[in-house]
Amino acid sequence: MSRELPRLHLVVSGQTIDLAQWGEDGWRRLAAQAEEEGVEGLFYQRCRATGIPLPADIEEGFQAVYRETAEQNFIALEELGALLKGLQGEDVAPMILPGAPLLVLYPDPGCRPMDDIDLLVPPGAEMRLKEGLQRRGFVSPARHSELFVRGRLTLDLHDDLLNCGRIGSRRYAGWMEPGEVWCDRQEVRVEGIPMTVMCREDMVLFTAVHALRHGFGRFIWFVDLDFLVREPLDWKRLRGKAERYRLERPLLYGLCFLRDWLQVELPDLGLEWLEEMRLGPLEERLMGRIFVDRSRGEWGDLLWSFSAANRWHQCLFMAETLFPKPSVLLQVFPRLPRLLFPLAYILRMAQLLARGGRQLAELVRSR
Amino acid sequence: MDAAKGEKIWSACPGLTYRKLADGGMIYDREKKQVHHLNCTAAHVWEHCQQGSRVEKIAQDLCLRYEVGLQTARADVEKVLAEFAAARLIAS
Repeated sequence: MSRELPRLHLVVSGQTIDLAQWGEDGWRRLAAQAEEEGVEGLFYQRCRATGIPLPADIEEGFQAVYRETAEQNFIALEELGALLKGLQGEDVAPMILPGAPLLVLYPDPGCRPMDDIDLLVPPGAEMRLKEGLQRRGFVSPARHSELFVRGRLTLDLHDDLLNCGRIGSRRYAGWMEPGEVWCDRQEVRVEGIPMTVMCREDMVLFTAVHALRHGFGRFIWFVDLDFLVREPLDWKRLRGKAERYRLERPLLYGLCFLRDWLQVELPDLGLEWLEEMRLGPLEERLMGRIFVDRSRGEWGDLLWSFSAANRWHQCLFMAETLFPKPSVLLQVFPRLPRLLFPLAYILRMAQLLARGGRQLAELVRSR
Repeated sequence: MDAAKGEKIWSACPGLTYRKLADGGMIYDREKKQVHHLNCTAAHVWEHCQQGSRVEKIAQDLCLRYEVGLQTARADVEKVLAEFAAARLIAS
Protein backbone atom coordinates (compact mmCIF):
# COMPACT_ATOMS: atom_id res chain seq x y z
CA MET A 1 0.00 0.00 0.00
CA SER A 2 1.19 3.47 -0.72
CA ARG A 3 1.92 5.41 2.45
CA GLU A 4 0.31 8.41 0.83
CA LEU A 5 -3.18 6.92 0.70
CA PRO A 6 -4.22 7.64 4.33
CA ARG A 7 -2.86 11.18 3.88
CA LEU A 8 -4.65 11.56 0.59
CA HIS A 9 -7.81 10.38 2.24
CA LEU A 10 -7.42 12.96 5.00
CA VAL A 11 -7.12 15.72 2.43
CA VAL A 12 -9.89 14.70 0.07
CA SER A 13 -12.31 13.91 2.88
CA GLY A 14 -11.77 17.44 4.17
CA GLN A 15 -10.31 16.41 7.52
CA THR A 16 -6.99 18.13 7.14
CA ILE A 17 -5.41 20.42 4.65
CA ASP A 18 -2.30 21.35 6.60
CA LEU A 19 -0.06 20.57 3.70
CA ALA A 20 2.80 22.75 4.89
CA GLN A 21 3.83 20.10 7.44
CA TRP A 22 4.58 17.64 4.65
CA GLY A 23 7.08 19.86 2.87
CA GLU A 24 7.40 20.52 -0.84
CA ASP A 25 8.30 16.93 -1.73
CA GLY A 26 5.58 15.35 0.34
CA TRP A 27 3.13 17.77 -1.14
CA ARG A 28 4.07 16.89 -4.68
CA ARG A 29 3.97 13.16 -3.93
CA LEU A 30 0.49 13.62 -2.56
CA ALA A 31 -0.64 15.51 -5.65
CA ALA A 32 0.86 12.77 -7.85
CA GLN A 33 -1.06 10.19 -5.83
CA ALA A 34 -4.28 12.20 -6.22
CA GLU A 35 -3.73 12.19 -9.97
CA GLU A 36 -3.00 8.46 -10.03
CA GLU A 37 -6.14 7.76 -8.01
CA GLY A 38 -8.35 10.00 -10.14
CA VAL A 39 -9.35 12.39 -7.35
CA GLU A 40 -7.75 15.55 -8.73
CA GLY A 41 -11.06 17.38 -8.80
CA LEU A 42 -11.82 16.77 -5.15
CA PHE A 43 -8.23 17.54 -4.17
CA TYR A 44 -8.35 20.81 -6.10
CA GLN A 45 -11.70 21.79 -4.57
CA ARG A 46 -10.44 21.15 -1.02
CA CYS A 47 -7.37 23.32 -1.63
CA ARG A 48 -9.39 26.12 -3.24
CA ALA A 49 -12.04 26.09 -0.55
CA THR A 50 -9.46 26.43 2.20
CA GLY A 51 -7.28 28.93 0.35
CA ILE A 52 -4.26 26.61 0.02
CA PRO A 53 -2.32 27.65 -3.09
CA LEU A 54 -1.32 24.77 -5.34
CA PRO A 55 1.91 24.97 -7.33
CA ALA A 56 0.99 26.50 -10.69
CA ASP A 57 1.89 23.42 -12.76
CA ILE A 58 -0.26 21.16 -10.60
CA GLU A 59 -3.10 23.64 -10.32
CA GLU A 60 -3.56 23.96 -14.06
CA GLY A 61 -3.97 20.24 -14.62
CA PHE A 62 -6.16 19.67 -11.58
CA GLN A 63 -8.39 22.62 -12.42
CA ALA A 64 -8.90 21.24 -15.92
CA VAL A 65 -10.03 17.88 -14.50
CA TYR A 66 -12.24 19.60 -11.92
CA ARG A 67 -13.92 21.75 -14.55
CA GLU A 68 -14.34 18.87 -16.98
CA THR A 69 -15.90 16.69 -14.29
CA ALA A 70 -18.19 19.50 -13.19
CA GLU A 71 -19.30 20.13 -16.75
CA GLN A 72 -19.95 16.48 -17.49
CA ASN A 73 -21.90 15.93 -14.26
CA PHE A 74 -23.77 19.20 -14.58
CA ILE A 75 -24.98 18.39 -18.07
CA ALA A 76 -25.80 14.77 -17.21
CA LEU A 77 -27.86 15.79 -14.18
CA GLU A 78 -29.69 18.58 -15.98
CA GLU A 79 -30.57 16.23 -18.84
CA LEU A 80 -31.53 13.52 -16.37
CA GLY A 81 -33.77 15.97 -14.51
CA ALA A 82 -35.69 16.83 -17.68
CA LEU A 83 -35.95 13.15 -18.60
CA LEU A 84 -37.23 12.12 -15.16
CA LYS A 85 -39.91 14.79 -15.30
CA GLY A 86 -41.21 13.27 -18.54
CA LEU A 87 -40.98 9.69 -17.30
CA GLN A 88 -42.83 10.52 -14.09
CA GLY A 89 -45.73 11.66 -16.24
CA GLU A 90 -45.78 8.19 -17.80
CA ASP A 91 -45.46 6.48 -14.43
CA VAL A 92 -42.19 4.75 -15.39
CA ALA A 93 -39.67 6.88 -13.45
CA PRO A 94 -36.75 4.65 -12.44
CA MET A 95 -34.70 4.63 -9.24
CA ILE A 96 -31.30 6.30 -9.62
CA LEU A 97 -28.60 4.00 -8.29
CA PRO A 98 -25.33 5.23 -6.71
CA GLY A 99 -23.16 7.05 -7.97
CA ALA A 100 -25.32 10.02 -9.07
CA PRO A 101 -27.05 10.19 -5.66
CA LEU A 102 -23.63 10.12 -3.97
CA LEU A 103 -22.91 13.58 -5.36
CA VAL A 104 -24.91 15.04 -2.46
CA LEU A 105 -22.07 13.93 -0.18
CA TYR A 106 -19.52 16.02 -2.07
CA PRO A 107 -19.00 19.78 -2.08
CA ASP A 108 -19.91 20.23 -5.76
CA PRO A 109 -20.24 18.28 -9.04
CA GLY A 110 -16.58 18.81 -9.97
CA CYS A 111 -15.45 16.61 -7.10
CA ARG A 112 -16.66 13.18 -8.09
CA PRO A 113 -16.43 11.72 -11.58
CA MET A 114 -19.46 9.81 -12.78
CA ASP A 115 -19.39 7.60 -15.87
CA ASP A 116 -22.88 6.54 -16.79
CA ILE A 117 -26.02 6.82 -14.69
CA ASP A 118 -27.33 3.51 -13.38
CA LEU A 119 -31.09 3.14 -13.17
CA LEU A 120 -33.21 0.49 -11.50
CA VAL A 121 -36.29 -0.19 -13.60
CA PRO A 122 -39.59 0.02 -11.71
CA PRO A 123 -41.11 -3.47 -11.27
CA GLY A 124 -42.96 -4.54 -14.41
CA ALA A 125 -42.10 -1.39 -16.37
CA GLU A 126 -39.03 -2.44 -18.35
CA MET A 127 -40.58 -2.39 -21.82
CA ARG A 128 -42.45 0.87 -21.23
CA LEU A 129 -39.31 2.52 -19.88
CA LYS A 130 -37.22 1.36 -22.84
CA GLU A 131 -39.86 2.60 -25.27
CA GLY A 132 -40.00 5.91 -23.44
CA LEU A 133 -36.24 6.31 -23.76
CA GLN A 134 -36.24 5.39 -27.45
CA ARG A 135 -39.02 7.92 -28.12
CA ARG A 136 -36.82 10.57 -26.55
CA GLY A 137 -33.93 9.82 -28.87
CA PHE A 138 -31.86 7.41 -26.78
CA VAL A 139 -30.13 4.62 -28.68
CA SER A 140 -28.41 1.41 -27.53
CA PRO A 141 -24.90 0.49 -28.74
CA ALA A 142 -24.48 -2.91 -30.38
CA ARG A 143 -24.58 -5.85 -27.92
CA HIS A 144 -25.56 -3.52 -25.06
CA SER A 145 -29.34 -3.50 -25.02
CA GLU A 146 -29.29 -2.24 -21.43
CA LEU A 147 -27.36 0.93 -22.32
CA PHE A 148 -29.14 4.03 -23.62
CA VAL A 149 -27.13 6.92 -24.97
CA ARG A 150 -28.17 10.41 -26.01
CA GLY A 151 -25.56 13.12 -26.38
CA ARG A 152 -23.45 13.21 -23.23
CA LEU A 153 -25.91 11.24 -21.15
CA THR A 154 -25.47 7.46 -20.87
CA LEU A 155 -28.01 5.45 -18.92
CA ASP A 156 -27.45 1.88 -17.78
CA LEU A 157 -30.71 0.06 -17.05
CA HIS A 158 -30.83 -2.66 -14.39
CA ASP A 159 -33.62 -4.93 -13.31
CA ASP A 160 -31.61 -6.28 -10.40
CA LEU A 161 -29.04 -4.70 -8.16
CA LEU A 162 -26.00 -6.93 -8.34
CA ASN A 163 -26.08 -7.74 -12.06
CA CYS A 164 -27.30 -11.25 -11.33
CA GLY A 165 -29.00 -11.26 -14.71
CA ARG A 166 -25.53 -11.31 -16.24
CA ILE A 167 -23.97 -13.71 -13.77
CA GLY A 168 -26.67 -15.80 -12.11
CA SER A 169 -24.38 -17.43 -9.51
CA ARG A 170 -23.83 -14.04 -7.92
CA ARG A 171 -27.03 -14.74 -6.04
CA TYR A 172 -25.04 -17.25 -3.96
CA ALA A 173 -22.80 -14.43 -2.74
CA GLY A 174 -25.52 -11.92 -2.02
CA TRP A 175 -28.80 -10.61 -3.27
CA MET A 176 -30.42 -7.24 -2.77
CA GLU A 177 -34.11 -7.79 -3.15
CA PRO A 178 -35.35 -5.14 -5.64
CA GLY A 179 -38.85 -5.20 -4.11
CA GLU A 180 -37.50 -4.36 -0.67
CA VAL A 181 -35.17 -1.71 -2.08
CA TRP A 182 -38.11 -0.09 -3.91
CA CYS A 183 -40.19 -0.28 -0.77
CA ASP A 184 -37.54 1.52 1.30
CA ARG A 185 -36.74 4.15 -1.34
CA GLN A 186 -36.45 7.84 -0.58
CA GLU A 187 -36.95 11.01 -2.57
CA VAL A 188 -33.98 13.38 -2.62
CA ARG A 189 -32.67 16.32 -4.58
CA VAL A 190 -29.26 15.92 -6.16
CA GLU A 191 -27.95 19.25 -7.39
CA GLY A 192 -31.52 20.47 -7.31
CA ILE A 193 -32.82 17.56 -9.40
CA PRO A 194 -35.56 15.57 -7.64
CA MET A 195 -35.05 11.82 -7.90
CA THR A 196 -35.94 8.51 -6.32
CA VAL A 197 -32.97 6.78 -4.69
CA MET A 198 -32.25 3.93 -2.28
CA CYS A 199 -32.47 4.46 1.44
CA ARG A 200 -29.13 5.31 3.03
CA GLU A 201 -28.60 1.80 4.44
CA ASP A 202 -29.16 0.15 1.05
CA MET A 203 -26.81 2.71 -0.46
CA VAL A 204 -24.05 1.68 1.97
CA LEU A 205 -24.46 -1.99 1.09
CA PHE A 206 -24.69 -1.33 -2.63
CA THR A 207 -21.58 0.85 -2.56
CA ALA A 208 -19.60 -1.68 -0.53
CA VAL A 209 -20.46 -4.61 -2.77
CA HIS A 210 -20.01 -2.60 -5.97
CA ALA A 211 -16.53 -1.54 -4.87
CA LEU A 212 -15.69 -5.11 -3.91
CA ARG A 213 -16.90 -6.50 -7.24
CA HIS A 214 -14.44 -4.17 -8.92
CA GLY A 215 -11.62 -4.97 -6.51
CA PHE A 216 -11.85 -1.48 -4.93
CA GLY A 217 -10.17 -0.32 -8.14
CA ARG A 218 -11.09 3.32 -7.61
CA PHE A 219 -10.04 5.30 -4.60
CA ILE A 220 -13.21 7.38 -4.81
CA TRP A 221 -15.22 4.31 -3.71
CA PHE A 222 -13.46 4.38 -0.33
CA VAL A 223 -14.34 8.06 -0.08
CA ASP A 224 -17.98 7.29 -1.00
CA LEU A 225 -18.19 4.64 1.70
CA ASP A 226 -16.56 6.86 4.27
CA PHE A 227 -18.94 9.74 3.53
CA LEU A 228 -21.92 7.39 3.62
CA VAL A 229 -21.13 5.87 7.01
CA ARG A 230 -20.42 9.32 8.44
CA GLU A 231 -23.99 10.36 7.68
CA PRO A 232 -26.73 9.49 10.18
CA LEU A 233 -27.38 5.78 9.68
CA ASP A 234 -29.68 3.28 11.30
CA TRP A 235 -27.00 0.71 12.10
CA LYS A 236 -29.50 -1.82 13.37
CA ARG A 237 -31.37 -1.63 10.09
CA LEU A 238 -28.10 -1.76 8.15
CA ARG A 239 -27.01 -4.90 10.00
CA GLY A 240 -30.42 -6.49 9.47
CA LYS A 241 -30.32 -5.78 5.76
CA ALA A 242 -26.71 -6.94 5.42
CA GLU A 243 -27.64 -10.23 7.06
CA ARG A 244 -30.80 -10.69 5.02
CA TYR A 245 -29.08 -9.86 1.73
CA ARG A 246 -26.04 -11.97 2.66
CA LEU A 247 -23.84 -8.91 2.26
CA GLU A 248 -22.30 -8.82 5.70
CA ARG A 249 -18.86 -9.72 4.44
CA PRO A 250 -18.68 -7.11 1.66
CA LEU A 251 -19.68 -4.53 4.26
CA LEU A 252 -17.10 -5.93 6.66
CA TYR A 253 -14.35 -5.69 4.04
CA GLY A 254 -15.30 -2.13 3.12
CA LEU A 255 -15.31 -0.96 6.73
CA CYS A 256 -12.07 -2.83 7.50
CA PHE A 257 -10.38 -1.11 4.58
CA LEU A 258 -11.48 2.23 5.94
CA ARG A 259 -10.49 1.50 9.54
CA ASP A 260 -7.31 -0.54 9.09
CA TRP A 261 -5.83 0.67 5.83
CA LEU A 262 -6.95 4.26 5.61
CA GLN A 263 -7.12 4.92 9.35
CA VAL A 264 -10.61 6.35 9.10
CA GLU A 265 -12.38 6.98 12.39
CA LEU A 266 -15.60 5.04 12.07
CA PRO A 267 -18.75 5.76 14.09
CA ASP A 268 -18.98 3.83 17.39
CA LEU A 269 -21.83 1.62 16.18
CA GLY A 270 -19.79 0.64 13.14
CA LEU A 271 -16.79 -0.17 15.32
CA GLU A 272 -18.94 -2.28 17.63
CA TRP A 273 -20.17 -4.29 14.68
CA LEU A 274 -16.62 -4.75 13.39
CA GLU A 275 -15.59 -6.11 16.80
CA GLU A 276 -18.27 -8.79 16.52
CA MET A 277 -17.24 -9.83 13.03
CA ARG A 278 -14.06 -11.74 12.30
CA LEU A 279 -11.93 -11.96 9.19
CA GLY A 280 -10.48 -15.32 8.26
CA PRO A 281 -6.71 -15.49 7.62
CA LEU A 282 -7.27 -16.03 3.89
CA GLU A 283 -9.65 -13.10 3.75
CA GLU A 284 -7.05 -10.91 5.45
CA ARG A 285 -4.40 -11.92 2.94
CA LEU A 286 -6.74 -11.31 0.04
CA MET A 287 -7.63 -7.89 1.39
CA GLY A 288 -3.95 -7.03 1.55
CA ARG A 289 -3.53 -8.15 -2.04
CA ILE A 290 -6.55 -6.17 -3.20
CA PHE A 291 -5.27 -3.03 -1.55
CA VAL A 292 -1.91 -3.14 -3.32
CA ASP A 293 -3.35 -4.46 -6.57
CA ARG A 294 -6.57 -2.54 -6.78
CA SER A 295 -7.00 -2.40 -10.51
CA ARG A 296 -7.59 -6.15 -10.88
CA GLY A 297 -11.16 -7.35 -10.67
CA GLU A 298 -10.57 -11.01 -9.91
CA TRP A 299 -9.26 -10.53 -6.35
CA GLY A 300 -12.43 -8.67 -5.49
CA ASP A 301 -14.61 -11.41 -6.92
CA LEU A 302 -12.59 -14.03 -5.08
CA LEU A 303 -13.04 -12.17 -1.81
CA TRP A 304 -16.71 -11.69 -2.51
CA SER A 305 -17.09 -15.45 -3.03
CA PHE A 306 -16.53 -15.87 0.73
CA SER A 307 -20.10 -14.65 1.19
CA ALA A 308 -21.39 -17.88 -0.36
CA ALA A 309 -22.94 -20.32 2.09
CA ASN A 310 -20.74 -23.29 1.11
CA ARG A 311 -17.73 -24.28 -0.99
CA TRP A 312 -19.86 -25.61 -3.84
CA HIS A 313 -21.66 -22.30 -4.23
CA GLN A 314 -18.34 -20.49 -3.89
CA CYS A 315 -16.93 -22.56 -6.77
CA LEU A 316 -20.02 -21.99 -8.93
CA PHE A 317 -19.80 -18.28 -8.25
CA MET A 318 -16.14 -18.11 -9.27
CA ALA A 319 -16.59 -20.35 -12.32
CA GLU A 320 -19.41 -18.24 -13.72
CA THR A 321 -17.68 -14.99 -12.83
CA LEU A 322 -14.58 -16.04 -14.76
CA PHE A 323 -16.50 -17.69 -17.59
CA PRO A 324 -19.88 -15.99 -17.91
CA LYS A 325 -22.57 -16.83 -20.45
CA PRO A 326 -21.88 -16.13 -24.17
CA SER A 327 -23.85 -12.87 -24.37
CA VAL A 328 -21.73 -11.40 -21.57
CA LEU A 329 -18.44 -12.68 -22.99
CA LEU A 330 -19.32 -11.23 -26.38
CA GLN A 331 -19.48 -7.83 -24.69
CA VAL A 332 -15.98 -8.46 -23.34
CA PHE A 333 -14.77 -9.25 -26.87
CA PRO A 334 -16.92 -6.92 -28.98
CA ARG A 335 -15.10 -7.57 -32.25
CA LEU A 336 -15.70 -11.30 -32.18
CA PRO A 337 -18.56 -12.32 -34.53
CA ARG A 338 -21.55 -13.69 -32.65
CA LEU A 339 -21.37 -17.07 -34.42
CA LEU A 340 -17.82 -17.65 -33.21
CA PHE A 341 -18.79 -17.29 -29.57
CA PRO A 342 -17.01 -20.53 -28.45
CA LEU A 343 -13.78 -18.75 -29.35
CA ALA A 344 -14.62 -16.17 -26.70
CA TYR A 345 -14.01 -18.82 -24.03
CA ILE A 346 -10.56 -19.56 -25.42
CA LEU A 347 -9.78 -15.85 -25.54
CA ARG A 348 -11.05 -15.49 -22.00
CA MET A 349 -8.83 -18.36 -20.83
CA ALA A 350 -5.82 -16.71 -22.50
CA GLN A 351 -6.75 -13.38 -20.94
CA LEU A 352 -6.97 -14.91 -17.46
CA LEU A 353 -3.73 -16.85 -17.85
CA ALA A 354 -1.89 -13.72 -18.98
CA ARG A 355 -3.32 -11.68 -16.13
CA GLY A 356 -2.64 -14.44 -13.61
CA GLY A 357 0.94 -14.78 -14.85
CA ARG A 358 1.48 -11.05 -14.52
CA GLN A 359 0.05 -11.00 -11.02
CA LEU A 360 2.17 -13.98 -10.00
CA ALA A 361 5.29 -12.30 -11.34
CA GLU A 362 4.45 -9.13 -9.43
CA LEU A 363 3.82 -11.15 -6.30
CA VAL A 364 7.20 -12.87 -6.59
CA ARG A 365 8.94 -9.54 -7.27
CA SER A 366 7.30 -7.93 -4.25
CA ARG A 367 8.58 -10.73 -2.00
CA MET B 1 -20.59 48.85 -23.36
CA ASP B 2 -22.91 51.91 -23.39
CA ALA B 3 -25.94 50.15 -22.07
CA ALA B 4 -24.05 48.75 -19.12
CA LYS B 5 -22.80 52.19 -18.14
CA GLY B 6 -26.34 53.42 -17.62
CA GLU B 7 -28.71 52.56 -14.84
CA LYS B 8 -30.13 49.54 -16.54
CA ILE B 9 -31.03 46.51 -14.50
CA TRP B 10 -29.38 43.43 -15.91
CA SER B 11 -31.14 40.12 -15.42
CA ALA B 12 -30.33 36.53 -16.29
CA CYS B 13 -32.32 35.13 -19.21
CA PRO B 14 -34.81 32.42 -18.30
CA GLY B 15 -34.08 28.74 -18.93
CA LEU B 16 -30.46 28.85 -17.79
CA THR B 17 -29.11 26.82 -14.90
CA TYR B 18 -26.24 28.04 -12.78
CA ARG B 19 -23.94 26.14 -10.43
CA LYS B 20 -21.43 27.80 -8.15
CA LEU B 21 -18.01 26.13 -8.06
CA ALA B 22 -14.91 26.51 -5.90
CA ASP B 23 -13.26 28.73 -8.50
CA GLY B 24 -16.23 30.43 -10.12
CA GLY B 25 -19.27 28.85 -11.65
CA MET B 26 -20.97 27.29 -14.63
CA ILE B 27 -24.07 28.12 -16.65
CA TYR B 28 -25.90 25.52 -18.70
CA ASP B 29 -28.13 26.49 -21.56
CA ARG B 30 -30.26 23.39 -22.11
CA GLU B 31 -31.80 24.61 -25.29
CA LYS B 32 -28.48 25.25 -26.99
CA LYS B 33 -26.72 22.41 -25.09
CA GLN B 34 -24.01 24.88 -24.19
CA VAL B 35 -21.97 25.26 -21.02
CA HIS B 36 -20.38 28.58 -20.04
CA HIS B 37 -17.53 28.45 -17.55
CA LEU B 38 -17.20 31.49 -15.29
CA ASN B 39 -14.25 32.66 -13.24
CA CYS B 40 -14.79 34.14 -9.76
CA THR B 41 -15.53 37.67 -11.01
CA ALA B 42 -17.91 36.48 -13.70
CA ALA B 43 -19.66 34.19 -11.20
CA HIS B 44 -20.07 37.14 -8.84
CA VAL B 45 -21.59 39.25 -11.63
CA TRP B 46 -23.88 36.38 -12.65
CA GLU B 47 -25.17 35.91 -9.10
CA HIS B 48 -26.17 39.58 -9.12
CA CYS B 49 -27.85 39.20 -12.49
CA GLN B 50 -29.91 36.31 -11.16
CA GLN B 51 -31.69 38.80 -8.90
CA GLY B 52 -31.45 41.67 -11.36
CA SER B 53 -28.83 44.29 -10.60
CA ARG B 54 -27.17 47.51 -11.80
CA VAL B 55 -23.53 47.92 -12.80
CA GLU B 56 -22.81 50.27 -9.92
CA LYS B 57 -24.23 47.92 -7.31
CA ILE B 58 -22.34 44.91 -8.70
CA ALA B 59 -19.09 46.90 -8.85
CA GLN B 60 -19.47 48.16 -5.28
CA ASP B 61 -20.05 44.65 -4.06
CA LEU B 62 -17.04 43.41 -6.02
CA CYS B 63 -14.88 46.07 -4.30
CA LEU B 64 -15.88 44.77 -0.90
CA ARG B 65 -15.16 41.19 -1.80
CA TYR B 66 -11.89 41.47 -3.69
CA GLU B 67 -10.25 44.65 -2.42
CA VAL B 68 -10.14 46.39 -5.80
CA GLY B 69 -10.79 50.04 -6.61
CA LEU B 70 -14.25 51.05 -7.77
CA GLN B 71 -13.03 52.12 -11.19
CA THR B 72 -11.31 48.79 -11.85
CA ALA B 73 -14.31 46.89 -10.53
CA ARG B 74 -16.69 48.87 -12.73
CA ALA B 75 -14.56 48.19 -15.80
CA ASP B 76 -14.44 44.47 -14.96
CA VAL B 77 -18.18 44.29 -14.43
CA GLU B 78 -18.90 46.08 -17.69
CA LYS B 79 -16.59 43.73 -19.55
CA VAL B 80 -18.25 40.65 -18.07
CA LEU B 81 -21.75 42.03 -18.72
CA ALA B 82 -20.81 42.71 -22.32
CA GLU B 83 -19.66 39.11 -22.69
CA PHE B 84 -22.84 37.81 -21.08
CA ALA B 85 -24.95 39.99 -23.34
CA ALA B 86 -23.04 38.84 -26.43
CA ALA B 87 -23.71 35.23 -25.43
CA ARG B 88 -27.38 36.16 -24.86
CA LEU B 89 -27.25 35.11 -21.24
CA ILE B 90 -28.60 38.39 -19.87
CA ALA B 91 -31.02 41.10 -20.90
CA SER B 92 -31.77 44.55 -19.57
